[in-house]
Amino acid sequence: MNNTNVNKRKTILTIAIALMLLAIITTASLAFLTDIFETDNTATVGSVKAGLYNNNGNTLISGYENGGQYILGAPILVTLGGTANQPTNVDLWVKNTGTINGLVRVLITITYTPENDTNMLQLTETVASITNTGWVNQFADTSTAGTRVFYLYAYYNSQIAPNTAVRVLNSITPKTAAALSAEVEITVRADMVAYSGNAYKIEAAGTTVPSADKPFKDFTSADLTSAFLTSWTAWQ
Amino acid sequence: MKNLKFVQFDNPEERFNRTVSILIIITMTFLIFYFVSLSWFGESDYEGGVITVGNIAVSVSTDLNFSGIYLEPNKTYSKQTTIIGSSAVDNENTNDAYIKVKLVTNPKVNGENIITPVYNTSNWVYDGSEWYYYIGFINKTTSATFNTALKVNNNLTNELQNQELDITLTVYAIQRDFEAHKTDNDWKNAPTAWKTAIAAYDTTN
Repeated sequence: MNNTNVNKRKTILTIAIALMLLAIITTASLAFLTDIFETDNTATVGSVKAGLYNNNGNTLISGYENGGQYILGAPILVTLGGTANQPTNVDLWVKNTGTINGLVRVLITITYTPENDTNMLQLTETVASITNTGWVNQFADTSTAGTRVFYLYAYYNSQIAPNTAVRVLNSITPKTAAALSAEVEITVRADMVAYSGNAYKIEAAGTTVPSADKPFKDFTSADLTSAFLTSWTAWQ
Repeated sequence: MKNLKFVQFDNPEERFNRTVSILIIITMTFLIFYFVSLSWFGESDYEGGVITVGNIAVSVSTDLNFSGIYLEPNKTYSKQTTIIGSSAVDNENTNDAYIKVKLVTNPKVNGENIITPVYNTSNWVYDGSEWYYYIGFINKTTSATFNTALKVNNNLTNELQNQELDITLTVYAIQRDFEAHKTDNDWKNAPTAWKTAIAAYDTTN
């Protein structure tokens, strides 16, 4: 065979191999008929945040936040009237400063110093009464109603919309001479949770929910029981 | 009648040329066959072929707009996603296609998406991690509804408050023909429940 023929055969062979490779690569790289569609958007997670206010809900009272709670930095001082059964107004409000509806409760402790006395005592239902319209109260003191000390959780029985304030205490009314003209100290802590979602993790009849999953931490072991939930219904 | 006579190639050079010629003919035949008749070999957006033999394209109508809305835990928002075939080529009908959809948020909470679809479980099979497979197929006249609503995860934490999250919806379609889902790498691991459910729709040609 001469060189011309050899070169000719090499050329033909090269073309054949190239075609074979083209076929292999083409079939190997092209898959089935497919299509992929993708779209993006954004959303913002809502928030609930409690603040304690005076001045008809317009001025934030000095305090601090702690894990979703708002705690007054110092007690609110109120001097009761000198006449029995005459209510003294309390300018104390809680506001939802978040962006979605919330459920709120406040922990209230009331102590007082009787006139002409230097000792601070726990205010009791025996010597005074409180009015907190729209709230459902749960006392830590399990003694007979009417003699209990004012150490209680109050649950607001409606949702609170964003940027809305509700009154925590309307008034305190002295009932006996011991409370007349007495100086009262009120400490308050407010907890707020989203109305939607976690708020439903509460004990209904026949169910038990771990404390960690409840919207509020237990006050007593009997907190947020099915019995209480017949009175406080804002969660529904 | 004229007798047929086979040509004899006793010359080595002629024998070589004959062999190479056959190879070329086989290759060319294969390539022509490939481009013209076997549509399932082609990718949907492939435009290099001389002849377009089929296409898969999806048209998705979805509402992921949460503008002016703050997400609330466990709350359900009315939002719908509908998918239909949409030919990528003018005057060409789209091929029947199986579809799968995923909805992903970033960040997540406890490893779960903050928003999940509310969908008809009779029509979709969830693979347990990300994809929802449609039991059926779509084309230019047959659509599929994915989510009828979007639900927010119940376990939002305080750390997520006021945080902006990204929502990404992905729809993946593959040809119904030739049981492509059984061999395609992105589809062959689909849930068995889905494969069983769509077996009646599979076509082998």
